[in-house]
Amino acid sequence: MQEEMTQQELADKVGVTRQTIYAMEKGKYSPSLELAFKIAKVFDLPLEEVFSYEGE
Amino acid sequence: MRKVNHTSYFNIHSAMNTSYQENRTISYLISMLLVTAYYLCYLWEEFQKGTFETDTIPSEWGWTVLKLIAAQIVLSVFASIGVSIIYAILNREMEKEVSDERDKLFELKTNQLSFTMFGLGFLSSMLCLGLGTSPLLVLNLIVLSIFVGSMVGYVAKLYFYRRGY
Repeated sequence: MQEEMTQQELADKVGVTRQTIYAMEKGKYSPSLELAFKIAKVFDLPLEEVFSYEGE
Repeated sequence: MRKVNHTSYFNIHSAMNTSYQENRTISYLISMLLVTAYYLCYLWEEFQKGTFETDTIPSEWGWTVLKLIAAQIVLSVFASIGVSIIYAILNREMEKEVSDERDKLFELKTNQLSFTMFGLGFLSSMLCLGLGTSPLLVLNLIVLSIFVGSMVGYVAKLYFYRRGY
C-alpha cells in the first residue's frame, strides 16, 4: 500500500507552493523538467510513472 | 502536456485558500487603487482651477509625483502587513513566503502586460502632445498610464492565480 502524502508535504519537499502542486494535479500547469525530476525523486519512481503526456 | 498522475500518491485538498502571493498582490492592488483615486481627485481639483492651461510644467509637479510614489510604497508595506496579520488570524498559521517557478511565470506575464499598457499610454500621451495638448496634461497622462499599467498587471496576476496557470 502506498504511503499517502499531502500536497503541502510534497510542496515543502520540492520547494514550491501547495497551489503549484494543486495546479499540476489538475493538469493546469506543466512543471519544468527540474521540478518534475524532483517530484519523481521524492516518490523514488521513474519520471514516466509520475507524469504522463496527454496530447492536444 | 505533462500531467501528474496523482491517484495513488497524493491526497487531494480541493479547498483552495488564497496564497501568500495572492494576498500580497491584493494588498498592492488596494494601495495602488487608493493612490490612483487620490491622484485623480487631485487632478480634478487642479483641472477646475485651470492649472493645465499652461505651456510649462511647474517644478512642484515633480515633487507631487515623487510624493505619490513614496505614498504608494508606504501604503503597500502597511497593506501587506495588514493582510498577513488577517491571514494569520483567520488561518491560525503564518504565511509561507515561497516563490516558485509558477510565480515567476505569472510575474513575467503580468510584467509584459503592464509594460504593454504603459507603452500604449505613453504613445497616446505623445499623440496628445503632437496635437497640441498642454505638456502638463501629457505629463499626467504618462504618470496615469504607469498607475493603470501596474493595476492591470495586479488584476491579471490575481486572475492567473485564480485560474491556476
